[in-house]
Amino acid sequence: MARILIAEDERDIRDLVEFTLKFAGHEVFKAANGAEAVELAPGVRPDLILMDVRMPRMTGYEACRALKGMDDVKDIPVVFLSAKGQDVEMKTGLEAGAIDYILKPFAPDELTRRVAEILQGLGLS
Amino acid sequence: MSAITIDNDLVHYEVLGRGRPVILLHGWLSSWRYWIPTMQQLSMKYRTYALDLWGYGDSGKDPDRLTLDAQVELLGNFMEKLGITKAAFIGHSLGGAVMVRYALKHPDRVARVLAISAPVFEAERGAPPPAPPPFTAAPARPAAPSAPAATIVARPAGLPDAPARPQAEGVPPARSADSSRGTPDWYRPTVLHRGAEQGIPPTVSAPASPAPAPEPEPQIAPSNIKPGQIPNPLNTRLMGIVPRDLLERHLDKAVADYDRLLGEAAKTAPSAFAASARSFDTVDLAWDLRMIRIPVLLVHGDEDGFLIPPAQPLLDYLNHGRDDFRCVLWPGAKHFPMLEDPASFHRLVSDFLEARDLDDLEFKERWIRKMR
Repeated sequence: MARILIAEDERDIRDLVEFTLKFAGHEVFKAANGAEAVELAPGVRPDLILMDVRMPRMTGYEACRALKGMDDVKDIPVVFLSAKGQDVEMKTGLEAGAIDYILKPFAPDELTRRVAEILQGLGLS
Repeated sequence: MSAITIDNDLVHYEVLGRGRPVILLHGWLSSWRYWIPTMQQLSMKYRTYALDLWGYGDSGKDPDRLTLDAQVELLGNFMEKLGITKAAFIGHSLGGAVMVRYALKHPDRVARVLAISAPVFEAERGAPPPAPPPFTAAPARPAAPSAPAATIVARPAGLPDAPARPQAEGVPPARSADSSRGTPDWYRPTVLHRGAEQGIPPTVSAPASPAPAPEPEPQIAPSNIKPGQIPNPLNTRLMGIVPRDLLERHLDKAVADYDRLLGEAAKTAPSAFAASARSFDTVDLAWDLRMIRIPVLLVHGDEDGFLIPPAQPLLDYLNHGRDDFRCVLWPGAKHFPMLEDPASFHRLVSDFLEARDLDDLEFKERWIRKMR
């Protein structure tokens, strides 16, 4: 079980991701945009952050760069939730400090599996 | 975890999505948890609610609230507490029975019912009673003020015997050549006026006036039979069995979340099975399904070893004269079609929820053997 922070502006997707990961056994925290994720991360200290790319107030890239510049949270792994076919965005995301990306749209069981794989790779499961 | 209190006890539920409400109810073997994939699937178009019945999962375990009637009451209270005025129902096994009973009593609050692996048992029931009129939220006025008072078919409490069946057991009855009315010659409906036996006042003819009051919607009571009148196999299938053991016997180990589902089954109240099984001594779900006034889709795995799928005579009984009832026997499925083949199940559920009526449903031949 891991502590996971989700940053996603679309409420339906945010709720679905929360529901899916929660009942896969994780503790889940939610942010509605990049700025909120940056605000929440130091207090929550998640094991993993799942970050959408296109969000209001602060995009996923901007939020990721901001997090990587904060001493207390810079080591928290960030994974982007990227739309299919946006290869350039994936590259930009990885350059911003993310360790991986999950393609959207995803089936809930696929998300659970990918998160489990990522956590396992980080030695967190 | 979301919870509300009903009758001073905790009711656990989970909710996901936005849109028209859909309520999901589990059966004897586990809890709300096996609806997770269905909730995920429906959440982009519907607001889905799944709750734990009394005695199951994380809901209260009061031994006095484990009967079918208590669960039906729970469903009504749950809807009221959450402000759900009308919802589509999806119920499995015991949950299907709870929903059918509720929908029979409150057709105005239920859009349609999908009952999976419901406890409908074979019995000698005689000819099916006439199908009741579909429920309409705003009933039409009678054609003329002097129209005869409506009669309904109602099964009185304590009915001594089921009507005798004119055919030998297992032999399909001959159909009538009277195609103008579509009524077979074996059809001998038991028609009873609303009366004292049901505790419902007799219908009074509307007085002659230029603007008569609309005919009230008939109230149809759920079955209330004598113990032993209809066989109750639950008394042998549920008695003296540990819930987790029973689930292990009937749930394929390959299904997603298998270990957690077993864990949920272990939470079941010790007396839940016995109390629930006994309460079916006085219930004939086939009658309730027959008399329900909203669209119903019955889905049953044809290899279900826990609740045996209905045979053709029972399907005929349920289906006769109705266009808002269908039964799907799912080839190769056991007791949990929604977990054994989730992709097909979710397609069926989406179609069911979106179809204008059941005639619009297009079943895929590869997984539908019989369709009524």
